Amino acid sequence: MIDPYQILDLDPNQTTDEIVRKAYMDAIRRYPPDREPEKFEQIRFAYDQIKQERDRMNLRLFGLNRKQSILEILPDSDERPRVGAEKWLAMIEEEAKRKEITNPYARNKHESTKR
Amino acid sequence: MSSKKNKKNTLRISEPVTAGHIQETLKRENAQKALDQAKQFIKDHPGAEAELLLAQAYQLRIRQLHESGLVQDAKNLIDIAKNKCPKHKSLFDAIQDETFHFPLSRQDLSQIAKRLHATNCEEITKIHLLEILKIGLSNPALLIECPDWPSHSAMKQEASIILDAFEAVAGTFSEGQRKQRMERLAQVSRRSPLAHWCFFIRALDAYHRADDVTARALLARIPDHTALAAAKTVLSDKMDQQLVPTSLSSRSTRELWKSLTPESPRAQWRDLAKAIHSRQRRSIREKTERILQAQWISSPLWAREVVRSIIRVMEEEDIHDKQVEDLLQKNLVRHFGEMGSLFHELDSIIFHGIDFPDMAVEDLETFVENWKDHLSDKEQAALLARAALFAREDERSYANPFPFFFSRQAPNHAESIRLYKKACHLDPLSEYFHPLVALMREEKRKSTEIEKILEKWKKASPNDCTPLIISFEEAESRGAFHKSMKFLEEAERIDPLNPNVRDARQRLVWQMIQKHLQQIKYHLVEKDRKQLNGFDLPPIKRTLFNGIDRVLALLRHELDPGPGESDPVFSSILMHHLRNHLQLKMGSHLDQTVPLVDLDSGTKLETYYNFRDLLLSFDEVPVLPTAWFNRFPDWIRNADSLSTELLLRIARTILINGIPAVVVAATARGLKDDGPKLPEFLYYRALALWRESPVHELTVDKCLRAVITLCRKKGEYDLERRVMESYTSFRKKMFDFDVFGGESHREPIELSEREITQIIQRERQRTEPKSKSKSKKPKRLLEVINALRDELNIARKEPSPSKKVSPNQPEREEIPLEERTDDPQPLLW
Repeated sequence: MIDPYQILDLDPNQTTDEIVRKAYMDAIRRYPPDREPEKFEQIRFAYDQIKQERDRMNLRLFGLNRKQSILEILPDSDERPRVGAEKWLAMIEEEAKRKEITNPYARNKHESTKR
Repeated sequence: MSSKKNKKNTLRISEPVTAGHIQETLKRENAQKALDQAKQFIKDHPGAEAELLLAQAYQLRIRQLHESGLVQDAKNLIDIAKNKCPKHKSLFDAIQDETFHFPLSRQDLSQIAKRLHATNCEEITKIHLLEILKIGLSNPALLIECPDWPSHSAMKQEASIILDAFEAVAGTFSEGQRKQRMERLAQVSRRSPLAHWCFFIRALDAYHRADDVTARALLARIPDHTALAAAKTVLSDKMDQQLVPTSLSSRSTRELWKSLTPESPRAQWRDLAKAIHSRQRRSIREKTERILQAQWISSPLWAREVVRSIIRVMEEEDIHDKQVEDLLQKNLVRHFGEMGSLFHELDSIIFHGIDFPDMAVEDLETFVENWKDHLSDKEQAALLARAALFAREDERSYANPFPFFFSRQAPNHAESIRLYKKACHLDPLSEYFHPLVALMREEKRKSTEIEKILEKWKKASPNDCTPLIISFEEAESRGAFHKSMKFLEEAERIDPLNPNVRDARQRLVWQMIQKHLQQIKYHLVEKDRKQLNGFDLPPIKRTLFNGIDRVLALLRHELDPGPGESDPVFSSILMHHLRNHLQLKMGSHLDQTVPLVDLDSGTKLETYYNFRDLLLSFDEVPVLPTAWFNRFPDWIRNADSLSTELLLRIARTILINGIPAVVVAATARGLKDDGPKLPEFLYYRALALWRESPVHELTVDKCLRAVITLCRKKGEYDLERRVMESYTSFRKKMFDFDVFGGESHREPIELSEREITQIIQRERQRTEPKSKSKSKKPKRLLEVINALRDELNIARKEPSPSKKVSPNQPEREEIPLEERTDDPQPLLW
């Protein structure tokens, strides 16, 4: 995740210096550096991008102020990407309809189960 | 049924119907006739027997409808029958069990819920219903949403736990949240009809973590006769990397199947980057389209970063494709609305400007003009400031075989100043005043012009003491001490603890002291000294100002009061510097009482360089006898121990007009240590050799290349960047006239291990500059040939005896013209 607003759970259209600072302090209380170093680093990065009005303006105009290439910030590739429960449930429903699942209490168990 | 048939039946039933008739009809399985007869019978003879016969008739009819495939009609009739024959519900429940189709619909779940939670629900019925639920449920959400299922029911809670865990595993949740939700799966009972969902969710998680062994083991525990078993097949196929099954019914289902396993973001990016580098336009378009539709682009900012990166790579490859640009623009418009077009145009200008900054200047200004209705004043100012930065950029150095045809103009500072002024006008509270003023001072603009800008800055930021400090420096540089004092006092009023303000005060006091010493107004010097009483000065500055007391004593011809708080070495150097710099009348008294020390040890050398750095912070340089400076190389060579830090400080003086001989001596010691700073020492050695006259191009070239190679091996990228800049500048100066860009664009920069070792060994042995031992008017051709022979390790050719240079010639004759006399001159090092 690289969107500073997402990381700090802020609405980009309703942000002031004070709101950002408060969100940052809340976040580092939940993820202190000694317990969650990676998350803390993300939070710190996010804060640096939007802590002042000028920073937020620069983010809006010029994008992220980052030194890493896009490859370095893309989500890790070791895991297979997750697509959401909705798609899986839709696939299960489709396949279940296509497959003939027998009703063990049907009078004639060899009957078709087509609607 | 047709009305004629109904009429026929009605005619036949005009005979009185008996129970026997109905039973006979039931035996013959004529359901519709049996039902009509039963309805007639119950009208004529209401009672338990009639009700039973009606129920049996309904049962037969329902069964026949179901067998004909009219499932919905059958289900509807079940409801009617239950109402008509409430005492025989159990008959209809049994039929209902037979009529369930899988996967279960919402209506089915409602029916199951009502029956399960009915007060007279028998145990066997419950077992049947739970089994049907286990087999037929394809989505836990249906159970959760079913209004007939009580919210306190254990099964609904289990379904909720399962759905939460499923969403966490299948979606982009944080690791912590996923773990938390999966832990709750332990609350689902093993005997629950939903228990097999837990296996699937865990299998899906293992699949996403690429742990196929665990995934398969868990999938094997899902019963094959359930609706969920369908997912088993899909997941197994994905792990086996099967292609889309041809048995899938529709295109949309096939697309859905494919979308379950998208490519990883990095794989997608690599594919696209590869296509761009290979310059295959069709492939670029396809892959761009695919990446822009990726699921992992979860916010507009992500989309923008991806688009920016694509624009950047395409600019680097100099590929311009209208279709791809349209795709990118449309994507941004989708995320940002009209602003998407703005962002697309802006990113294109900026990335194009990396290689063509002069074009970016013009394009950015036009862009601001065209989009000013969509940009605030601050944003316009930020863009103009960006344009000003482009205007300041140095000529880009890249592998260009035709430098004459594609070289750009030198940095356009005038344009940069104009743009900064515009930016400051739009956003007076911005930080653009600072670079504007700095640039104007660098360009030596008129002081009145600079003052106007400083006034505007002060007006816009009355609480900022920076413009006052700059005004102070400007006035001080013109010698207008009273004016500078006013600015300083105003700055001290605003921010007395500001370090820049305090430094300015110390600097002013130093200037005043020197002025009053020259004017022989010693009482004013004492007064100036007292200004700093109570100041928390760093030790070196305290030593400096305390040393003034001793200077005063000597000037007043008092007996030598001793060094006092001052370091005697520091004190000696200070006094001789002041005498020479200010032309003070101390005469031989100074040389007798406080002779200029020899810097024959590490401590003394360090003291001198501290003094030097301090004076540089006041924009001054030490003014001491040339002959004394000339002994530096010997002191450096013979000093007992010199820290690496001190040697580097001495070597770095080459960056600001340092004397090559001193740097060569310092780097010789540094190279011998063979420590981690070796590349840096070699770099400064190369710069020192470059400063010589004539320049030994090959030696300098090899040294710089050796440093670059070492930096790359050691991962010292900051130093590498600096050295590359020097190397590029060096090649440009040396081969400026070579149309084809010289060797630098053909041979690789890096040297072999063997070559680097040879260079280091040679440079270690060199303790003085190459030019030192040469005669005043060298034979250039012979020098060049001998230099080449040195490089190639061939024996030197000695000059003819009549022209031999005597090694014993007096030092004076060898000293370059500018260093010939003993008169002290400010050597800028």
